[in-house]
Amino acid sequence: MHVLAADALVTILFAFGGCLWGILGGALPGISPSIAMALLLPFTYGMEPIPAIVLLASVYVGAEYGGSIPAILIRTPGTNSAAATTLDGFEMARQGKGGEALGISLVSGLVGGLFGLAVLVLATEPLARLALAFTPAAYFALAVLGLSVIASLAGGSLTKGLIGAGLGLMIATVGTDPVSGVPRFTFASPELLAGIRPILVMVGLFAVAEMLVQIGEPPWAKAEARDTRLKLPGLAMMRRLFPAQAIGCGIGTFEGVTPGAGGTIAAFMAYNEARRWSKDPEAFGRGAPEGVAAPEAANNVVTATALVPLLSLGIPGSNSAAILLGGFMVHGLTPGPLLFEKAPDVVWGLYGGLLAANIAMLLLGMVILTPALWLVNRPKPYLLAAILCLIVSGVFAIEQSLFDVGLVLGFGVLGYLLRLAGVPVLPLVLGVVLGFMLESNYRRSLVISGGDHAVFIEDPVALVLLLLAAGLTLYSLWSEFRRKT
Amino acid sequence: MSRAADLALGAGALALAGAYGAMAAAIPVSLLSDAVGPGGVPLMIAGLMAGAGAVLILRTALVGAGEAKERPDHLRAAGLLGLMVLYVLAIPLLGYPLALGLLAAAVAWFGGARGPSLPFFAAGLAGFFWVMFVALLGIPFPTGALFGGH
Repeated sequence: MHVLAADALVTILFAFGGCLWGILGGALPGISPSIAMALLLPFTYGMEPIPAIVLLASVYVGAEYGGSIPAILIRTPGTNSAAATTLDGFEMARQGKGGEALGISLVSGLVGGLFGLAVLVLATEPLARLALAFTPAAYFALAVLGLSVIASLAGGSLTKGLIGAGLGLMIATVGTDPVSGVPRFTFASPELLAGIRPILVMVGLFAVAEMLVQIGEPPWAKAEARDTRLKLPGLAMMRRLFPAQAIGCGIGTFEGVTPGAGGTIAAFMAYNEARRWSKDPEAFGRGAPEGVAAPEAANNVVTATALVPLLSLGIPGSNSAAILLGGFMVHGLTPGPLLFEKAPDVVWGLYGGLLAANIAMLLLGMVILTPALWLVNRPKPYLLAAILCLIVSGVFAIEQSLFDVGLVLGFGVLGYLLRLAGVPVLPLVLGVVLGFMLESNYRRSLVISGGDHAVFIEDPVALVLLLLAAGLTLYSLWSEFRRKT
Repeated sequence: MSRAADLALGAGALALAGAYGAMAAAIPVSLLSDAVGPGGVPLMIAGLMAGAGAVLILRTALVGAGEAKERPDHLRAAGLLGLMVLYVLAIPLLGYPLALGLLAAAVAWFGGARGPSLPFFAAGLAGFFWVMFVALLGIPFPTGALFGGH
């Protein structure tokens, strides 16, 4: 009992720590939730699974609120999903109501976070139970569908999404073949025999690539200290905000469970719908509190609902969910239906940690404003130097390997080039993390069927999933050509 | 993205698919292999990459390219990358705290920081990371061949 209480306390402490890191990271323009999570990923190696997963998930929760701080005070969204908050949040700040806007953002984020958590708890296990009946052929088809959905939706161009997914799958094949033990694409390097850890790909693609871009960007705007008094909304204001928050919760739920959609789309859709259904749509864009509440509720719902496809099917639908998947893999855990049978304590620990993270967001949000603004106001060159030192030190700490540090730099360059080329990164990450699932289930299916490919048509679940993937791919391709003509 | 850049991306995807596919075809088949073999799935991936590259070239040739989204400063990015590569090369020689302090100072200076606070920042940051990683977490970072370490 005491051990259980001590474990719970440790988990709560990590939820607070992750949330704090997330708020501070999210407040820095250019540091997205996924980058803030990627920076912590190397440190989870030596940790127990539950605190490690909770730490990463809490960063995601905290970063969504952190992103709204510069969005409201200096019209610079700390995260992409906070961009919609600038529209009315900054107008409120200009009218001297910056503290009120931050309070609305914080409370709406809490409402969204708790609603999303309820959806996550209620929806994930039934979906996972359905997936328990999947055969290897169905798992292969699920991986194909996951890749095609992300390639179609993540970047707007299916062909570029497929190039990203192909690159990820190529990286996943480096190392010893899981069936025959033959080395593949290792270039006689002993360091590559065990394959390339997804964590190295993620830190390079997200964190190092962002640093390479940020070094050429102008300094961030400064925030003024007079804005640092947070004012929570009263009961009357909460009643007024309820419809906007409800719209944000509904849209956030839908967008969160849809792979490839994410918090940014959810926030803008929620803002538009809140304006459309408002009795006073003209007030939007001129400092309407509802214009802050709707997007903030929506992007915080997504922090939880984006985990539904990850936990139930093993398919991460967003960059942050992919990093969280990396956290699971670090501890030898594979998200998906079997996770509920093999490690239910981790799933329930994550649920409990997310609850603690949302409470932490409220408590920390009330006191963090001054330190967050202090951090945002530090000279950018010093912040970049500190982040880079954290990256190179954290990556070396994983396996005490300079080769790994070199690999991360290489993936940073790849991420930089992909950004230039407009190739979305998420399909690549998904290819890396789903590569093994795809290949092993494909080959296992053929071993069972004696090499007969009809197994993928005879299995009804596999057939439906593959037809969906083919339909979506063809539709995306057709749309792409049609859009450009 | 400009038309030329999209065409270059498509051509790069085709070239990569060719090289990767050739390497996949050359993977020896072990007696333990299944019907697909260790090169089977990589060959399919090469096919996917080649198909995507060909469609991108075709699409760009027929209907043009999308709009450019961002144009980072390549020279500064290359400079920062160079500093990180120098760190990787220097750490076995100089050891962790000194190499990290130099990296911090160089990156901050390269980013535009000037003045007397720069060396204090670099020394403080190196000391902080040394305490966190070496003293507290016990990570065996290189101590530096110059100082008789490994």
